[in-house]
Amino acid sequence: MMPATAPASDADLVLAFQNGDDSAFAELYARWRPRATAYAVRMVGSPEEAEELVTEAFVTLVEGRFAPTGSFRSYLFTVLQRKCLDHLRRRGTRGKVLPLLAPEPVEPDLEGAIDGFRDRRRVEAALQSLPDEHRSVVLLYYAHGLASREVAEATGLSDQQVRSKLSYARKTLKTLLEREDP
Amino acid sequence: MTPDPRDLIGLRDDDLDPSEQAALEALLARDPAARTEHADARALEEVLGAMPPVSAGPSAAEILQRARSKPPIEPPARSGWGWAAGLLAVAAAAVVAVGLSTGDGTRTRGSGVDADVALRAVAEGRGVRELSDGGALSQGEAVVFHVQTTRAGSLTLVEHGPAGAKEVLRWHADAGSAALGGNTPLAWTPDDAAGGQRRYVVEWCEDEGGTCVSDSLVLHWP
Repeated sequence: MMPATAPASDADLVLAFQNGDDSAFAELYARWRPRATAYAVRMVGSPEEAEELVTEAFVTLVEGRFAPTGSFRSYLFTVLQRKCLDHLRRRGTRGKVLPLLAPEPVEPDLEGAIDGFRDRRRVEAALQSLPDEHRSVVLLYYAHGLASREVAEATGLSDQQVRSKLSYARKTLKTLLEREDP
Repeated sequence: MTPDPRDLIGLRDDDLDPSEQAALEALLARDPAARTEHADARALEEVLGAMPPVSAGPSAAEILQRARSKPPIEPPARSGWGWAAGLLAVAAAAVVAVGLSTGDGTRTRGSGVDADVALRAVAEGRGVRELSDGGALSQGEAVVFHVQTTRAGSLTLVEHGPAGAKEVLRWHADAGSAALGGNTPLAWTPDDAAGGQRRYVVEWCEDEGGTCVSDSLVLHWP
């Protein structure tokens, strides 16, 4: 039996693209666009605006600046979160809708969490009440699995500031979710 | 300094060093409220980790085409100081003192220094366009600054506006051309909503704190 071929790593694909292989970019794009879009939708609220921001982020990556010093994931989210925050700053208001978020059953197997944290729709709604920077930090850490040092790199904060924002954001979410508990 | 173990609640194991992990485990073992808070974080991770359905967006080929169809950004020609002239000055080791009036005083450029710095600006909104010295931005546009240096050193960009001078960014750069912010170009807009003229001054200094050279340009905000 032939051994299965392991998928190319992000770093291999970045290198291949830098060496002129456009198909490597296509693979990175297919791999990361859905997660990037999910982040942007949760940041700006509008699927249409999120799609444009993600497109701009990938265009920026291609425009001669495609030189991540760390992981590609960290690099992508660094560019994208900057674009989202710039966009929100210019717009002056935050999005309020997440119409594409179809409810999906989530059954955390963890005991002890308050009920509110088990309800995806309520968590998504409460997330929109967080300040933009806090929401970004929560999404990068909890939704996209970046290490706290990667979040720090992406946001320009210190590792300690990231930890602080995570703590503040969780407490705020909890207060909101408990307040709305039926 | 040992951190307060309460600050470690909700963090993943791989973000903790062994001593932090031990401190957190001890806290969770003795404090029910901490256990609840930690479980909340794990539940949050699980809920947010489920990705919402998203549209496919443009194809990778379209992204590449869009990036490559943008016109190449050329440095703006500014009176008496072009990039080529600057590079030639370095090659010839010319020693020319040029007084440069900036928002925070007069600085010298090229006075016995075999280094040079040039600042240019690109407006980014729905598209990308080069801004010349004295150029105007439109509503909704931000500016990405590009800096070219002939030697590695410390760079500082300062905005001089109605409210005084404000440091935009301080960083270290190698020789060459780069967007301000490096891999994460900073799309800059003034912090306040007031429009009007602002001067941007970039100053390059030798790492050892020696001689500095600077360049500047004026932009008009809506």
